[in-house]
Amino acid sequence: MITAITLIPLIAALGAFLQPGRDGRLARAWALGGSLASLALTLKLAWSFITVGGGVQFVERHEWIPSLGIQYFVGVDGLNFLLLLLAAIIAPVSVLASWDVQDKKSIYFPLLSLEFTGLFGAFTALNFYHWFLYFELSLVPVFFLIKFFGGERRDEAAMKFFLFTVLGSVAMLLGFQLLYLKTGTFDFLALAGLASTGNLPAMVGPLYGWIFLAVLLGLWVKTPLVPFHIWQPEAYTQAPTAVSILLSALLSKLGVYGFLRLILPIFPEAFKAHSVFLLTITAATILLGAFAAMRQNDLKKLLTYSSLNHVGYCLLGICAVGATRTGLNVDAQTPALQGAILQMFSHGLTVAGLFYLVGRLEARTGSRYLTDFGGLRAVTPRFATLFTILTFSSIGLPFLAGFASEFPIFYGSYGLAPVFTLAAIPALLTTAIFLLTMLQRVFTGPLVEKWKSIPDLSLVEWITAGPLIVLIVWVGVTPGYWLRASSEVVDYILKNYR
Amino acid sequence: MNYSILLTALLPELFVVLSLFAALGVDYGLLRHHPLPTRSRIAASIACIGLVVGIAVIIGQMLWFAPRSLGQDQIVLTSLTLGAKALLFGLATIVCILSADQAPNTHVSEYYALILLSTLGAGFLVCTENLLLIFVALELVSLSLYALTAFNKSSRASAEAGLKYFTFGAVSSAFLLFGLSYFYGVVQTLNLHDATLAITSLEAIPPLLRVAILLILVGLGFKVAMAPFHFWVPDVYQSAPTPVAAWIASGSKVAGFFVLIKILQPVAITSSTKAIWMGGVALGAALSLLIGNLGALRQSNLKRLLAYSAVGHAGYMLIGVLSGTVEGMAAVLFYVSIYALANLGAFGVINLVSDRNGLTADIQDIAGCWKRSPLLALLTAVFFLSLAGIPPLAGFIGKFYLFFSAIEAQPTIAKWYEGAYWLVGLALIMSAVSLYYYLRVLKVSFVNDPVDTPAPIRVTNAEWICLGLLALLVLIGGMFPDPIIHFIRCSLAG
Repeated sequence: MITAITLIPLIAALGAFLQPGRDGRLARAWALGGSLASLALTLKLAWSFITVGGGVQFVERHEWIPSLGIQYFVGVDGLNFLLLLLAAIIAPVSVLASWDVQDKKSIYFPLLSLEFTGLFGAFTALNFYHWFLYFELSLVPVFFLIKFFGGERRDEAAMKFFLFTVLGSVAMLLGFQLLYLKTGTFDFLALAGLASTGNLPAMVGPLYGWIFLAVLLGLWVKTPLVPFHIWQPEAYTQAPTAVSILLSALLSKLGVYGFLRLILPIFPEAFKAHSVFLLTITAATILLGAFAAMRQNDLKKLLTYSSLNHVGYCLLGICAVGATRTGLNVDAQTPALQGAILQMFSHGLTVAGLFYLVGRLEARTGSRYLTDFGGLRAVTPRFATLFTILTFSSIGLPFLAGFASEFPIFYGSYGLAPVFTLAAIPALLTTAIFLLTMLQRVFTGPLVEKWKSIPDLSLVEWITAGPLIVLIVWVGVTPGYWLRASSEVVDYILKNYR
Repeated sequence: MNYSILLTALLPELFVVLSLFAALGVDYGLLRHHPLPTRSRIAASIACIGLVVGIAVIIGQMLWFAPRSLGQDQIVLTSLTLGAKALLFGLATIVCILSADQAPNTHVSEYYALILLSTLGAGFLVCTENLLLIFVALELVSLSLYALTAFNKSSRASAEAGLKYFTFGAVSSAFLLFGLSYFYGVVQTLNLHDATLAITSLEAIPPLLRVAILLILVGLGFKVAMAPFHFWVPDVYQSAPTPVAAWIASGSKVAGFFVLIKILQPVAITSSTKAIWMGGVALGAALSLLIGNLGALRQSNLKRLLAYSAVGHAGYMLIGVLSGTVEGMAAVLFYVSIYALANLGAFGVINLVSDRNGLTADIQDIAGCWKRSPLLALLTAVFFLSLAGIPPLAGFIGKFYLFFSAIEAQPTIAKWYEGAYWLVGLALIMSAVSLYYYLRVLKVSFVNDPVDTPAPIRVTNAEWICLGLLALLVLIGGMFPDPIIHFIRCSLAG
């Protein structure tokens, strides 16, 4: 089933690419069909997913390249369940977000579909080889999408994005090859098993620390954290809307997911040893994101920095676990980690919605500068409502998804690493300030003359953004229901940190 | 010596020689007054028949005849050497088919005869473990290639490239011969197996051995396009007839790395002898990686771009050579085979879009390929992405395996420069750089519009089959590499 979810977009990409006539009329239909089929299968999978006591489910495991110890191994557990769901939901959203792309459709939509394959694959792979394969594969379409379809400075943005992420993954590849030589397995779960017995550092020997750093570097760039975030603003803002959505909602999660899947279970000792350093970096990321967002006039850039800040919260929860002192406040660990997992989901939904609406605003007005707008609520009340709900979720208002995940994170991390948590608090306030300022600038105040006749939400926009809003409210109202999926796996991971 | 066994052993070569004479005879006897295209097609068919029959015989030998060694390792037939020979014959077949539709000049049958001769040489090269025979076979390959490079008599560039290739090549052969003779002086035997024994029983390393290995490395470094002995590569690739360039880049590269590994084997056993050449090879690898990949960035001629990338790829493979382990050799052989397939395909595409229309392989020749012939554009993508090492194509697993073997050779290091870690790191960074120029070609082919009025791309059925087969092999090699890796590994381990 997972293989089918992963491969359907690939088939759709081929279909969109090879259709007769090649003028691209059917290309978006292919892409949408593929992403909806994957979504349907994912929902079916989610329906039969056992939240407690299920372990790793929907496993497919085959020998692939036995001479190099490589297996084809995919499965879903509490760590990647929500991410798979998120990817399946965001995929059609991003296709719909590019509904009015006109130029070179027969290249645009296949690339987009190919990106879905990379993401589905990377979220479900449990063997390093094909995980890495998908991880890398997810770079290529984004690079081209930015390069061919991006804004004015697309060449520079694409190049920066590409070089940074490739350098990061280079380090990771080296690290894992070394790890394989010492342990004889590329299997994430087997490696986690070895680590939980405490034998892994002894098996690996003096290079243990280097391997940890190599893997860390790859994820550091991907997430990104300070100071490797410098590729991010350019890439997010120069990319076409759909790609901004994918980058912020899913690709950044690939990095955070890497922390949960690779770092936490496989390198507990090293992670503990470096946790203060990582917390410093995280706090810096959170603060930088928030303060930089305050100074932005470009809506996309504002969202980019706010995204940097919100993804930082995930890392705050994760790194706080590493900073646990023995026997102290152990019950704060579970909320911190579970909150981080849920935060990936809710931030994905929220930021995708925001980028989508900003993209629509740009399509209507040709501008995305705060100073160009004002009073839009009068002409586009429904648009303003959706935008406001999404923004409130981002700020962290109760009964919306943002609060549901940020509260456990802060609750947990305050118990584990109070200093760093307090250091991050100003960011919460700042976030509220700049997001509310954004709302105020765009939707209230005197209406700018030239936007007097812009249309309100269209049907396609309702269909795209509606489900996101529903989910955001759902998560916000019943967070326990959504947190439950990760409880078992979190318990398993935390065994190494008690 | 038992002649019937010798005959059986050399049966594939015999068929190739027969087809060589048949091609010459038919062309000059029966077809003298026929138009050039007919002559070219018939000569190519005869050559292909000989090669294909040869491949069939080789497969028969693999099943019922090997492993066997004749005349004190003068001819060694194992599944590995036979497999390499079959690969070389296969590559040569495709080169013949790619050339069939456009003869470089009126001497059609000589052209195919020379390709067959160099194939024979390459076949011998992989099958022998005798120093003298290695040199003779290598010269057979080289001399045929010099002539082939200059084959386009009407083109000044082709003549110049041929002359350059010949001058550099002759000097490097002299180096190699010197090196081999010094090596012989140390080990007192021509047989590589005995040489291994002789070297392991040495108490101290004689200075002469150092000189010998240095000279051999210079000589072979030239053949495999290792920097700083790469100066001939861009000119030769650019100016030689495209199928010939394809043959140089695929067939002679396979044979070159095979022989490099073979010759280094006796000195790769103990760490003290390894130390003699490791520094040099490491330096060569690093230089090749840098010069090849950075040089390719600025090229606007497709063949020149592939030439620089060939230097870069030599750098990757030298990392595997450097490890000196069985795993490393297996990785190099796997990589070079995959590389040869993808490279041949890439040259084949260039042949179709440029040479067929009388163009000079500028990058714009391929512009709009997606609109002119979508299937060809897809095949181009497969070949170039495999060269770039993008999964799931074979180039990716090739690199993965290569780097893996390099790390495995020395898993624990004390200083950063030990082991091949820094080289692997450099190689990984350079493979990121290489993406840029490979993807540029694909961008031009998929996105750019054709320059002025594009001639339609004419492709014969045989060419479709060849390119399709190559692409399929590259794809299958990437998705299911295990049988091949397993085969190479087992046959190397004996």
